[in-house]
Amino acid sequence: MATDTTQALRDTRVPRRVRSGLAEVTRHLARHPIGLTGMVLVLLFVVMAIGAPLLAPFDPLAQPSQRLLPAGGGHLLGTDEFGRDVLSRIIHGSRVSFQVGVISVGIALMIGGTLGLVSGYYMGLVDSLVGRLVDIMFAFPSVILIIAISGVLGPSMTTAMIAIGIVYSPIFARVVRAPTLVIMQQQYIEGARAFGAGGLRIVFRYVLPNIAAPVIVQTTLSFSTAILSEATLSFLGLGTQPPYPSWGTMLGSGRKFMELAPWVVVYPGLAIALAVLGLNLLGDDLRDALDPRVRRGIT
Amino acid sequence: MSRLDPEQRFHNDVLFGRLSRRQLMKRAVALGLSLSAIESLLATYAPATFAAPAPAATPAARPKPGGASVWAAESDPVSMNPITNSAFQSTQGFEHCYESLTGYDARMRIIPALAERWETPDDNTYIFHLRRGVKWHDGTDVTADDVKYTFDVVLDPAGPAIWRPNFDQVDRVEVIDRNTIRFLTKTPFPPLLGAFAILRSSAIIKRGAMGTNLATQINGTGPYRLLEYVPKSHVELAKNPAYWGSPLPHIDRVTFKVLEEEDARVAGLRSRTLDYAFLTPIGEQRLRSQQNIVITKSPRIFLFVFVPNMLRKPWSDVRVRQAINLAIDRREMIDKALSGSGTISGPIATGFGNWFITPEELTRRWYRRDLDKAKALLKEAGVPNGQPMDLLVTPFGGAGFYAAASVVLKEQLAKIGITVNIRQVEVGVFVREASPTGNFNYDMQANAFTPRHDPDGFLWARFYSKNPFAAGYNNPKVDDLLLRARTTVDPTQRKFLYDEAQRRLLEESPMLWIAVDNIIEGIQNYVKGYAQSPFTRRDWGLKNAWLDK
Amino acid sequence: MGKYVLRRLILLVPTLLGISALVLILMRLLPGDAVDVLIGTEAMIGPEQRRTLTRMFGLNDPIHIHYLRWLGEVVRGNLGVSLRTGETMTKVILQRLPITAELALLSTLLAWIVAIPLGVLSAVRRNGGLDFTAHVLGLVGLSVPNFWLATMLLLFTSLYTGWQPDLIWVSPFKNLPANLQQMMLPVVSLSAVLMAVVMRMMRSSMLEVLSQDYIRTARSKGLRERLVLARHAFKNAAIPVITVQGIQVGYLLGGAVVIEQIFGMPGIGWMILNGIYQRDYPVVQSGVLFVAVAFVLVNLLVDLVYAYLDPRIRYD
Repeated sequence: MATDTTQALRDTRVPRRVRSGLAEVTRHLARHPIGLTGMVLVLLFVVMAIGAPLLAPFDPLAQPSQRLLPAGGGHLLGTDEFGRDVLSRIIHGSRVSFQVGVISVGIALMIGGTLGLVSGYYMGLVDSLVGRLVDIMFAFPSVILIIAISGVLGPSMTTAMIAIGIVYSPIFARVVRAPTLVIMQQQYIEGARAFGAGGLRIVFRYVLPNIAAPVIVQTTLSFSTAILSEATLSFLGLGTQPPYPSWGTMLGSGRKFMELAPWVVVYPGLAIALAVLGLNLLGDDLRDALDPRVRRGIT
Repeated sequence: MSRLDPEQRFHNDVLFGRLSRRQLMKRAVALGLSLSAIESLLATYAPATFAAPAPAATPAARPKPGGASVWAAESDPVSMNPITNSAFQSTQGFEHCYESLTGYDARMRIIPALAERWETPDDNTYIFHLRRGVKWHDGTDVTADDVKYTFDVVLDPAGPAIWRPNFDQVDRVEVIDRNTIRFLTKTPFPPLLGAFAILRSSAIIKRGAMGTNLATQINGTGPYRLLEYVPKSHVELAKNPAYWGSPLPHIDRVTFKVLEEEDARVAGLRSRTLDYAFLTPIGEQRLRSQQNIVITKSPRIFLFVFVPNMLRKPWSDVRVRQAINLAIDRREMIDKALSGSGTISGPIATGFGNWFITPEELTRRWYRRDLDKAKALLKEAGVPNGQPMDLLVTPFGGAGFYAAASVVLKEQLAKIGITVNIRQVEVGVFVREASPTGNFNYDMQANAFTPRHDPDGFLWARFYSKNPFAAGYNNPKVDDLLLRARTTVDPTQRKFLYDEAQRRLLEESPMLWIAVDNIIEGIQNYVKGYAQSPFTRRDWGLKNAWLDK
Repeated sequence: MGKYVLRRLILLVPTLLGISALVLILMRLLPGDAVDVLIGTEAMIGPEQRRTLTRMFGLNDPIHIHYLRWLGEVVRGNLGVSLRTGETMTKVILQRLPITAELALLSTLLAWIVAIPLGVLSAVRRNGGLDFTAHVLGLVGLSVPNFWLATMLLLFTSLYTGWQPDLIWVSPFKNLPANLQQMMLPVVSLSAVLMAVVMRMMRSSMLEVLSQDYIRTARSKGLRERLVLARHAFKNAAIPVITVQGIQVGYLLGGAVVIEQIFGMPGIGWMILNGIYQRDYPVVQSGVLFVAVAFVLVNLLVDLVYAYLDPRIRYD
């Protein structure tokens, strides 16, 4: 179908069987400073997330000082409207972003990936039905859907993760479906079947290795957009609930004090931008590393 | 009809503001009333505790009529329907166009509106004489039939009037003649006059109006006609040339732009696109340096509270509630949630007439922080360390107080071993879970009392045990006090009863009363005659305002 | 081709049915209803009064009746009436649509004006200084949250410049200069991401096209470089860029919701969000339906344009 052509051009490439060993990737990164920067940024935030309790000078929920203090006196980035240390909250905020990224993308991968596999494997009617479902999800304004799901389940970080996960599934379904279709139509599949290979075996042996590359690329991309989605939700008050520090919530609740204390909004936004930038740099580079012919598109 | 005795005549004269302060004191003394009684009267019908700021104009200046003005509305009225409206914001939408039998002046004194005078031949009867020659905006005459029609709708127990309980003691309404109407109450009912003035399900509508689209159209009697209401956008008003209060209003055209974001209001004031805006303390700070803007600030009758769910353990235990009361620091909440702009309060909002318990007494007797005693009480009540509390909050209204105060509360209660979990939901969910008509699915909720027309409004519904909304609170002595207070006409007696009731309530903490905040308004220096109201009502202020340019 | 279009349009129907059903299910699942929102946090009404109000709002139908009734109305062209204000949805949408549309169009336009030349140039001057800068800028544009960008722009203008945007929306038909001045910051905030996406797409597709055989052939024929670029390369490179526009509608609406709130613009995104908060079913149902139709139609248009431009693509 033409829609596939369109979609395929946008987000999937039919890969060759590229051996993407870890060694190759590392070698590649060393030669490409952009990817390296990305890796460094991502690692920085990962370290921040894991080591938050040790790295943060203050408890992110404690209100030790006067409110809206500028940088200085133990508070490297100042205090917020409750007298909480902004730096500590940003460090702990990385945990939220990391968690949300991992879990929501995980959910999307599981749901979408399964749908895509099923669709590509069985083809025919199943494919059409799933295709319709995916179309519906795509046509639905995603922000609205995320908000509605959050509303139904009650706004919280967990709900945000589930909602984002559900809404991101169609992308993974599409990313997985096209190459699966192509592979299933190859001759060696018939051959394998003739030898008595069952469905699961076919999937694991032939399909999965070949869809690994676009899936990895999509995962990195979706990770970064998931962080943005969570930030938007929290900004609107629907994601991570106060008083827990999410970069989006900090921005949202700090906005009214912006003119009096700009640091309350500048730094959380900067954190989001840098984290997402790191992921994008890395993702861009991964795409190049895993498939050097990616820019060609399909012929 | 029995003849009015001197004391009743005196009360009537006081009620509709015919007496100056000196006359009032003279007659009161002649009647043998005590000093505290006189004080009560002065306070109820002329709340002297308010230092309502002087109007922006010099008294000698003559108002210039005419002109068009753009004002900011800080929330969307949502609907102009005066019967079904419940939210404070809706009243702010139609207060310039609809009126009731009585009204308020800037000092929240009850003044005649559509009724020019009234009498009470006995404690259960009010006879209102309607002003003659008042017309609806569509040109037809206002008659007693319109009032009867309105109250048929309002008093219908299955009807859509959200604030029907404000009139719960009204037995029936009878038309006497074209311009006279009689209200008969089941018991003496002092809140009645205020219930009209507060414009909650009490604005008079024309007979037959329920069939029209009341949500976006108004056919009223007020100083302004509604030209257009576009939800979420603006309210367009034009001077009513046939207004009974002529030559008021002065300004010909007023547009209220709905600007929920304070950034927009601040920007508008700075650029002179707006002539008026309601501000939060942050907005006030931002505009402090603006020469052309006059900022007025005064206490407002907006009482922020936390309400424990007394149907659940352990909040049903009075010791637990007292412990919480001992653990919270109201000053810190005011500082962090209201940016310092507020005053502590008891059950009746500080500043409301003279009905409230003074902050000095509150601090001395009940609002002292004592963490050790709090922890001891909790232990005694068998509450484990780390006791969870589900705190329900909605960001709707309240100038951002709820979300911020809940964060502060969480920190404060952590010090006595209660783990607060903040659940922030939108208003629809909040009402379902937390309102007195909902599921009671919470441990504590953050809420507020918007201005009430009578001290009864702060206490009756929640603390009179036989009310469905009292949910778990049952103190027979308080019941008795509240019942007597709402059926006693003598203000001194009422004050005594309410003081007693409040003191008992403060002992038992069925609610955590935190603070009242301030109303802060910014207006351009060429707008004169506007007066701030502690009820955040703008009708009196706008009616009297004029543009000096 | 005609058959293809017809098929796509027919497929629109089950998609829309699915979406509208999904909306209604989600809305009904949301705890609280329009009556609750009306009652507010303070007022206390009895059960009989609540019943009256529920009936007034038409909320006591079971969900399938509710859905079928709504469907029947929509088919007749009646999108319903807002529960809160009683206004007809058609009127409300027509009022608010132009605002979001203006925002979306101007953002797209700005993105194209900036990003397309940038993308072409960085492909042509590959690995040069410009390419590197553009590459980095593109990545930054993708990473910066649009609501933060909006906030920073507002902060910057209020702290460091004398000028501040008015934040009270004015229609372009009433006062075009004022309107454009207002739209400046929102449009820039929203288009940053678009710029990045379009630039990257343009660059990569241009690179791909430039390495194709037919370009070498054109060059070897002695055609001027500029002609080669303009005639052959660009036209073919533009194709994938156009296809990207289709999915951008989703981003535009999502971004519009937040941007509209920050800048106080009464558009559709904010209308739908508020409708959810206030449990105003007709608002959400008609709003989402409208957006979904727009999305699908835009995508269809994009696919058709794509087919027109690229003779290799044939739809069965």
